[in-house]
Amino acid sequence: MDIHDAGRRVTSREQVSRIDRGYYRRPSLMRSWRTWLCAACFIAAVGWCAWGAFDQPGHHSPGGVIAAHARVESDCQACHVPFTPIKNDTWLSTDQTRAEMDAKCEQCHRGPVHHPLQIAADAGSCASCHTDHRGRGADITRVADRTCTVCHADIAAHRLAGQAGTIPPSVVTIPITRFDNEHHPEFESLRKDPGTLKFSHGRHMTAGLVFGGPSKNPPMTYEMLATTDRDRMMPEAATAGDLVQLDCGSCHEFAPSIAPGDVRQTTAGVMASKPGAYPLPVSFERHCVACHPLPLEPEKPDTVLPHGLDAEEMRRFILTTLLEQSPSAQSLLDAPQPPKALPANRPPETPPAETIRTRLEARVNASRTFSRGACGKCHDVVDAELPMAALLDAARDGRSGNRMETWFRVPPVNVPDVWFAKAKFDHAPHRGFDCRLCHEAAYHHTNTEASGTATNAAGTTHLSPLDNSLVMIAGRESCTACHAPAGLDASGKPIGGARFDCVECHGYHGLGPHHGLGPYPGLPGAATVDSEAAAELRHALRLE
Amino acid sequence: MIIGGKTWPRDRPWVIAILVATIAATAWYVQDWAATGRIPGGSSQPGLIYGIAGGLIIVFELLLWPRRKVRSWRLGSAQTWLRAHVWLGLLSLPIVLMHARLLVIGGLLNVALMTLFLLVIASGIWGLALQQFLPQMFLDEVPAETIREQIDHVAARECLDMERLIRAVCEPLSEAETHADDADDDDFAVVTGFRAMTGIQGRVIETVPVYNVIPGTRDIARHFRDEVKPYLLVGRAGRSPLASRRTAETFFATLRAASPAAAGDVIARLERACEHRRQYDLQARLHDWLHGWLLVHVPLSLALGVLLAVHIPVALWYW
Repeated sequence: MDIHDAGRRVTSREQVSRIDRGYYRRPSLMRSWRTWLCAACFIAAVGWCAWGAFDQPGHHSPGGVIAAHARVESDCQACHVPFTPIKNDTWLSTDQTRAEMDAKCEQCHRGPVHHPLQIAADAGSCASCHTDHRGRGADITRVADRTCTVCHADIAAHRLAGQAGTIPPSVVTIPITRFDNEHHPEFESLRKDPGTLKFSHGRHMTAGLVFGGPSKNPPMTYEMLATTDRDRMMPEAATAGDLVQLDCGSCHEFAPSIAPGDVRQTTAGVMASKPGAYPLPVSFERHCVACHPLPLEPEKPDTVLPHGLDAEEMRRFILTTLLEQSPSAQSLLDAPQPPKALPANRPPETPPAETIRTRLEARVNASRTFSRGACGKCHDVVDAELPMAALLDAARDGRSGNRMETWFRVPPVNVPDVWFAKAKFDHAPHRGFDCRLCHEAAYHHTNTEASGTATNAAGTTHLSPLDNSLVMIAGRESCTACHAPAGLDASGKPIGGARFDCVECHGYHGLGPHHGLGPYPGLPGAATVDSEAAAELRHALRLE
Repeated sequence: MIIGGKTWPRDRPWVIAILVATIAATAWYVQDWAATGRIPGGSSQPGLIYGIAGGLIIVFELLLWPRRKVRSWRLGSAQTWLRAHVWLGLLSLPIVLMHARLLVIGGLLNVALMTLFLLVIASGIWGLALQQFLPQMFLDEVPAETIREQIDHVAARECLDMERLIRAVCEPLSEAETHADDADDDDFAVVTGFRAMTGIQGRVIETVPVYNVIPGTRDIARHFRDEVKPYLLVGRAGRSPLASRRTAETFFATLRAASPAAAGDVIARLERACEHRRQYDLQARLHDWLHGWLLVHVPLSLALGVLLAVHIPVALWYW
């Protein structure tokens, strides 16, 4: 028997009821979840974006700005122009957009052109190199090498043509792609010493300051120095009878090592650098006069000629000093000639003015000759014609000025206060190294100076340290030993590792940090640094 | 399987086009990187173009949703849309990464947008991977597949069929053991049967010959009431031992040994019903895996669209 035989038939309704025809109308659990999640995400996203409209810097800024820009961090329009690319290497940037953006930066920052011959289109906008929004501590001046080498790798194609004569010849015409011995030229600033000072580092670095064979002077000991100089220069372990032994720090002092209250003269170049980056200028009065006083006359060592005078100042000082030593001669020279009296009434015999004038002129001439020799020991000395001083001119009544006398003057020594003209250097992080590492040529050598070349203790051959054209600073190779990618040398010793990117040594605006933001060196308007010591002395002598 | 297999001839042009586009885009990007010395960002020429392309792709991807809502529009077949959705979505990953400076980005909006994008892409790839093998698993492991939302209805219906069969052929339980809701005087036995054709089973309405009540089958009715029926109604959620195939085989073997031989067909049908219930449970789990990723993919895609709509004007305003 089957079910049909049992008298029951399956109706069509029963068959249809086996399928739930309305299942798709009922919301399934997964579909409900999806709907609710979609609604939640949509509302959350819209709400979050709406919140961002009121907190634009927090939501839309790609990162914190540097500390210097923190003041305008919440004011996007301080630096941005709506719908204008802030970088000039974007797709839609134009000269106009770049000018608009740079004008925003130049409201606060000076941005002089990098080079007078640069092509304007090659120079990026401010933000193209100085990318902000990288956090408070970011250094936006440390730009990638590519921002420099994009032009310097083929600098000939990136400088204006036909104006090559407007700037001094420079090695920047050499393609530069990175800092190493192959892709970076030797330092142009160290090619030749422009100074005229006759100075032997080798002699001064020798104990007793005797170098180059027998000398008429005995070796110098500390007891031969003045008390103040002895206190300053003599090491604690030395005795007064020991030979004077100078080292680099005896003359090249750094600002951080100066005692508080000790005022020193400096130069604009050193002042533009960090304290301790460069040694303070060598001062004759502090570093030289201990061994090189300038007496007016050999027999009177206490009367010394100030350092740094020009010819007229020197003559006036010598005359004034010699006259001060002889007040009677001064009054006699200045007073009108008295009428001659009878022999019985004559005062004590005094030489006639003419005789005094002649004697004074002889002393002045002797002092001038002696001083010229003293100056010429270290300086180039050139003749300087001066009108005969009225004081010494016998025909001074109306005819003075017609006669000339030959004095001398000392041209500027031109020793750079900062040697690198287009780069920066900081001695402070290099203090851990022996000075010889970079200034080996300044140390004394075993051979005599007269030979022109000398061999130092290590067997390295150098030009004589007496050669004024020799720069006592090692070149590029001394830098690339450390400023290179980290690695190992042949013996497995670690080498390199110090930064060697372009901005490690170079600046862009004004070429170098020591030049500030001034014009290109050598062009009209470039600043020159006068000898402040000479200026102060002239002021003290009331010669200005 | 969405990719490969029989659909490979239609996928191949997409794969080639995506590879060519990715390689070309990467080459341009690397060339610009080498030329400028820094990672091109969204405002660089390639970065901006990739941003526009990536934005358009995302907009197209989002259009799949309304497209499914309006199936009647003649805007290409659903398969073409899905294929374009998959391949363009994969292409958007390298494009958008290059637009976003290879993730070297900052800003809450940018980071949130990129995070959403990566989550959407990851969930999409996860869903794509599931779609690669889960359908085959359905064919292999769930031949009794039904509509996901019908599982409870079908299982209840099958339970009712079994109950009627038991009532027709098994000795009734004592009055004390009989549940009140079991009072049903129907004596017909229409059960849901399954016919296999080319490896696919289909449900059919099957009639079962019903003879007289088989003596000695009261235990079958009791076991049905106590173990089989609850499992058929609730499935594995009831923590029934019958959810395990091995336990079920042991259970029915024991029941078959303790029952008259004439009841073997009834026991076999009960065993088959339990097997169907296990398949329904497995189908439900597989279905959840197959579609569960959409709980992440779709809502996050919606949020991504909102943030993208804000990102575009903001990026152009402050770029």
